[in-house]
Amino acid sequence: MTITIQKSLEIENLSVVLGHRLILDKVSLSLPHPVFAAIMGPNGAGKTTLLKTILGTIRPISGKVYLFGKEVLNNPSEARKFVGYVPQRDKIVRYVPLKVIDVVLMGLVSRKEIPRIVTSNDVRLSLEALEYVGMSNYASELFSNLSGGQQQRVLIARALVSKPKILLLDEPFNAVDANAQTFIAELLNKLKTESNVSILLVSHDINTVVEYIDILMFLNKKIIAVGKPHEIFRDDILRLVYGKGVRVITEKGRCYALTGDTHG
Amino acid sequence: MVNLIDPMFLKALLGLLLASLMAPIGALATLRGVSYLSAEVSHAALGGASLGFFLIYLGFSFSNPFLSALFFSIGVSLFTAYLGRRSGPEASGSAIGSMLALSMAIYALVRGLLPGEIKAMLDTYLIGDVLLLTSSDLVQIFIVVLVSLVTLALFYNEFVYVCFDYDGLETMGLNAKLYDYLLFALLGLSGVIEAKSIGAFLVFAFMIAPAGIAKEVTKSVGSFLFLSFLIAFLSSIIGLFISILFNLPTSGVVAIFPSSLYLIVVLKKMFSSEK
Repeated sequence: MTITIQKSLEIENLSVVLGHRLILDKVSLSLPHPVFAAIMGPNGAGKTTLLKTILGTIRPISGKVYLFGKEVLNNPSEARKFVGYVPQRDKIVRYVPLKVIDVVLMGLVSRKEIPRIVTSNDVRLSLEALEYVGMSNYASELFSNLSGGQQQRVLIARALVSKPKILLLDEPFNAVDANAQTFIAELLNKLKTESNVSILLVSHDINTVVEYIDILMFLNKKIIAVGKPHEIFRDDILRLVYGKGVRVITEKGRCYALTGDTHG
Repeated sequence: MVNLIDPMFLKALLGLLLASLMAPIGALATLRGVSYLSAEVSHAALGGASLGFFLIYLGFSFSNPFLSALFFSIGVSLFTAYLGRRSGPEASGSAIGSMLALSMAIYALVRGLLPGEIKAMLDTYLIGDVLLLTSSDLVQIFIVVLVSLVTLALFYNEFVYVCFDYDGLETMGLNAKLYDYLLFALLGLSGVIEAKSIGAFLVFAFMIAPAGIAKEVTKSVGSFLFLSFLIAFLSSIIGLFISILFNLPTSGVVAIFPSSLYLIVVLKKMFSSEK
């Protein structure tokens, strides 16, 4: 009997050049499903570019990307059906006066054909997604009036409303307070364990989620190391990624990287 | 005394209503972070109209200054969008300034070459005069406003989403680039309408000030756009009556209201937040 392990994401020899600069250099990766994976690296390492290439919005000069077996680059709309994406929050224009429910509806409406009419079912699904992230009481509030952590939860609800099989998050812990970070980390873990959704996040700091991570990758234009956090959180590897300015400390069996690197 | 059934008054009223209907597009420019583009495109319309009048002066009777204003304005708007996408917001800011200077330079050069009566017609694009709008002007304006509002209604969600989260939109499968360019094209159209009705000089009062006021007091995109229209329209009506009653330049009086109201709202907010 043969057991086939479903792959959520496969990347083969992916190279990306932006403005004559090599951003990703022959990146290869294979993730099972469901998985909680994180990509870590310094600023300019190509983390966001990698996510956007996986989503098909940046075209590589070589290589292939598969989401659940579907080739992304030649048929991005088909592959994107499996994906929910949470962008960096600082890319969102917060002075657009949108209500929380409207932000979540965006995740459904934008996937419809023109004229993209909002139905009562769309509203129900959006409220359910808000309920899942603990934000249903804020449905009628202005998105711009929420705290950083609350806005992040709403953006996660927007990504979840289309029932993705994999959730891609770009720096989800940026400018979010410690309590909200913990809440989001537990939420993402719950998504994987209870709802079978794979998680792939990029971050300059994964300390909040390190206990949930199955696979950690260090990226600095190319993949420097892949493995379980405790296997690759080593001084020698971290120096390869971040240079000499990094320190690793261990506290109650958990590793923390002190990179001094900030983002956003 | 204002004669409410005077055809000139009715045409002016209709012209101002149509110009006010473009105010929500100026409001969208505010959300898109390119408020000043509204002013730029109306100056581009002035440059385009200058070329149209110059062609007439040279004997090309087929030339239509309104259409040349339309194409020039849309072209400049799309070029600004292209530069903004390619090189970032700073480049689009420089493009807005450079194109504004180019448009005004074309106007100044051409105006110097034109004879008196054509010069006067060209100047209506600069300072505007709704009381001089002809029936054929109104038909042209009506068609452009209709096309703009239908486009806005059809792609309302897409335009709002592009303003809110351009990157996220692309990943959800929407052609964000297409809708962004479409929004900039609409802005180009709005520039022509405002230049033709109230004049490029005073376009800030119709396209930026109403949005500035509405932004301070509304809590949804729909009410923000509607209030922008309402402020522009009510200002026009009041301004039109006052200008006729006291024999003052209509565009100037019309423009005073939203600009003054904006100052009042902002100052009130400043003082209340200091308390």
